[in-house]
Amino acid sequence: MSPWGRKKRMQDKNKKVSAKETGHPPNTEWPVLETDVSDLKPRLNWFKKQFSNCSDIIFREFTLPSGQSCALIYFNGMIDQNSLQHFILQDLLTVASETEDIYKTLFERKSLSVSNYTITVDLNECLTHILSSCASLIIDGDRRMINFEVASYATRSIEETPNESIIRGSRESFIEDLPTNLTILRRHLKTPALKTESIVVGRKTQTPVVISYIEGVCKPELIAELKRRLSYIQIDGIVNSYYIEEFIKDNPYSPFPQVEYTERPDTLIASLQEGRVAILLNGTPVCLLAPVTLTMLMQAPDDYSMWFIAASWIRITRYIFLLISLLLPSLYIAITTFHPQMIPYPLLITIASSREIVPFPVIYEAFIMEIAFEALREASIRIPKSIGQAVSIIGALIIGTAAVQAGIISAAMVIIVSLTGIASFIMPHYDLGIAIRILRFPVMILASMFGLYGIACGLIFLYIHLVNLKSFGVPYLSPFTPLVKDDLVDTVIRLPWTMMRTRSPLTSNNRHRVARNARGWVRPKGENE
Amino acid sequence: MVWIGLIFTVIIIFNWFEQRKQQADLKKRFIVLSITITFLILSELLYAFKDQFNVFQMLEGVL
Amino acid sequence: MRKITALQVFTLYSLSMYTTFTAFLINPLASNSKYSSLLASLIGPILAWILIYPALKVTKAKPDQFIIVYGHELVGKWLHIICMLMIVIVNLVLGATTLRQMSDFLLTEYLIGTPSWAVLLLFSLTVAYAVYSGISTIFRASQGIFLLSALAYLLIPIFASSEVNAAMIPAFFTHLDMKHFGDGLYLNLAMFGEIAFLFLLRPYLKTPDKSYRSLLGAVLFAVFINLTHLFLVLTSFGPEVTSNMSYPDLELIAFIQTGSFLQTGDPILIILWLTSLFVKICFTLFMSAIGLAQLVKVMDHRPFALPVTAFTTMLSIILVRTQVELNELVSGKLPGLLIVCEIVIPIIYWIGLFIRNLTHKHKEQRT
Repeated sequence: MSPWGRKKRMQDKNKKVSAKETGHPPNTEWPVLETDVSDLKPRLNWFKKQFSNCSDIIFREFTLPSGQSCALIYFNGMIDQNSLQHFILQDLLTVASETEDIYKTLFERKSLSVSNYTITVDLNECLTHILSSCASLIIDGDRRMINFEVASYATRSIEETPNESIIRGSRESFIEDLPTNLTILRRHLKTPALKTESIVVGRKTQTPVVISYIEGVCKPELIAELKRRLSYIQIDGIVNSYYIEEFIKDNPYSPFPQVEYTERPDTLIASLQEGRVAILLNGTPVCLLAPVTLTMLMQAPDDYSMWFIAASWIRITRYIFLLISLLLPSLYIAITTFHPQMIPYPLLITIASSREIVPFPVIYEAFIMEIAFEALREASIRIPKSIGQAVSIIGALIIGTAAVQAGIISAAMVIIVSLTGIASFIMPHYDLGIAIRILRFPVMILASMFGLYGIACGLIFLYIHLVNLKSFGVPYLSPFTPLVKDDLVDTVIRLPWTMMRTRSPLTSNNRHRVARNARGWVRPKGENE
Repeated sequence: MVWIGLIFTVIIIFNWFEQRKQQADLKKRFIVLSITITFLILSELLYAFKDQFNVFQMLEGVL
Repeated sequence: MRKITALQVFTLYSLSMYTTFTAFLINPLASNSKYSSLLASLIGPILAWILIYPALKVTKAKPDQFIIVYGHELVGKWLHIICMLMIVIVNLVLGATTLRQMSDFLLTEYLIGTPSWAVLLLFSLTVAYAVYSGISTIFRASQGIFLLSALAYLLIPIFASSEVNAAMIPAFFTHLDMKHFGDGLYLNLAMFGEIAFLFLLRPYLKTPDKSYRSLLGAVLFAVFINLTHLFLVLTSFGPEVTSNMSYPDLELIAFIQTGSFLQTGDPILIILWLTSLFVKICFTLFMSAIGLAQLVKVMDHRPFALPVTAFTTMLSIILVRTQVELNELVSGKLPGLLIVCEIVIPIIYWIGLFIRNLTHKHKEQRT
């Protein structure tokens, strides 16, 4: 044995790990029935035991005209009672009275007028179907059970998304119901190449997750890698899409998002056409998109519904405000503390006079203001709408004139922080905005200690981190580094569609998306009309 | 000198655990450890004698 | 493995050569070469590019392997170890020298009163992160920085051109001196010869044969920027005044009169120089780390990244006692060592390769 029993400890640790990994319960935790499972009574009792203390479960027992005892099991409120009544019960009774071999009629000829049903012999599988809004029919004398897909429950209607509003474009957004979301997708992408592979994730929630991609456009390696990462997820429940995002992202410790999300069908469809993969799940309107780069996070759906020069102008503004959001307070701290010679004299005198009565150093002032702004921002998310107005007034007072007049902060700092706050909301992707907001604080500390040198070192560190970062094998800073010339047409600027004829080679092998003569109707100069 | 020792100790511990995570051989781990300790000793010696003897003087003697 | 493109080679070497030259080499050049420095800065780099050809030829023998691994087959085990150790040590000293020059610049111009260890520690953390991340990160980082840096360096002469004293221009032709020219050539040869170290990493290059051409492109681009800056500095201040300035390029930028707001924009130089020197120092330290790793057969550079960075940082603090010693090291001692490692050692390996090929030929003919 090696010193201090290390070898034995490692072996024990390996055993514990493998027990944890393999000892987890299978998809369902319920014990298997040991008696002959063609009888109705034992099966019914088994289901009653599983659903004990569940007040919303219905066990509808009845006898067919042919003499067999049956039972329908379903959850109240999860199925369409009309369909159950007319197409299942009524039909069943009619069929049973007309036929000699009810089992053949039902299981082999499938003579019921219900469009979609599955047959199973496994009790656990049947249980899963009942929990997934099916009505299950058990007939005495046959092991087989029918699961009717007659789901009907209240869902939200398709509305405009509150978080991704645009000026011109579709107002539809995804909802919590996965079949509805898939329907929206199908209605827009009328091609059999749109694939929607389904898996189930979450031991208790059994959340259906759909991987969607366009075959022939999306790289097969990307799809395989995504499926591989999803297959490793072992968790009790998936409540929202971030649970999945955290398991599949390349670097979970990076503040930068490595998976994009959207509630907009048009964004999802455009991304699928780029060769990206979408992950849709039941229970959340937010869908995930992979891979992602920094330039993709700085694009908004609006960019493609306006003149390309206007779109380019707005994008350049976004990049400028990205830098402002990250660096403005730090630059103010560095320049006023270490490099005042950079400021023109009139401005320098104004700033110096405004800071004369402030008792704190610039860094403390900046931190107080930034933290107050963060507190206001968080409060505004959770505040009830009825008193939201009052909070904004208080916020304006705190950050505004009162603080300046009280001599706690200087007027210049109010402007700096307000501009920084506005800048952080310009970013289309909320997670990127949060990352920048968090990173602002260490850069401010470096600026207060080392001036512009500190900012430069902080930026270099951040830059190296971004150069290293990848999202499903795609470098985060592409197409800038590594340089991909073809992709530069849709980054800081957006060129017209006639100049963006090819897809990115990083996400797709099928490069062509716009025909060469898409504007072939244009007559050559001089030709008579 | 204490700080140099502290920094190199942190580096040694970090490298050791990183290599263990990557399941590197013990031989390679000890090679890395010995080279790091060599750097530590060199650093401490050079720092201790920085006023009497430095790289520039060494090069003057050699060249 | 083959990840470094020819464009990335061009960007990294351009950045490191023109930044080091404009930041730290103008002063020693002006004091040693005076009016001959322009010609020396034109011919020296091109001569360096020609003289590193043996390094390219030697590494072509086994393009998928590192020469540090198979070099003992060419020159014998002990000579190979001595040569490679020398390259590792010279890279460490070069990294320490560049770090020291950079920290001296910051401490004398902008961070007066700040302890040098604090400045170096902060920078070393970023360098350690980049070196640990690997060579493709360093090259990709240079590719991203290059455009902005090159643009700034190209714009500076345009803004500073109003300070040129046209009457000095004939002196670049009439005041040429062989000794001065030789001193300038020596300095340029040593600095630009660093491109030879690229071929120690041949298996990382995507297109190694194209890389030699990329190096020429980088040399020519760097020469263009260097000559414009050197020309402006010498014609604005003259060689005597320039040799008394620690950072003549900084003084040139201070003369830019494009409007009162940009008049004192020289702190922006910190960011420019820092980012470019950063990639140079990272590359140099990576060379030391990978050299050590391959010499001791560990192969992975990551365990050596942190100790090498820490040692180089410490070395930069105790490297020299005064600015005078630093100038003497940069213009006197270090170039000689660099030329030995960049040009003489590859020639020794080339001779070894030639002899080995000859003996193999003879053996084949006999059999």
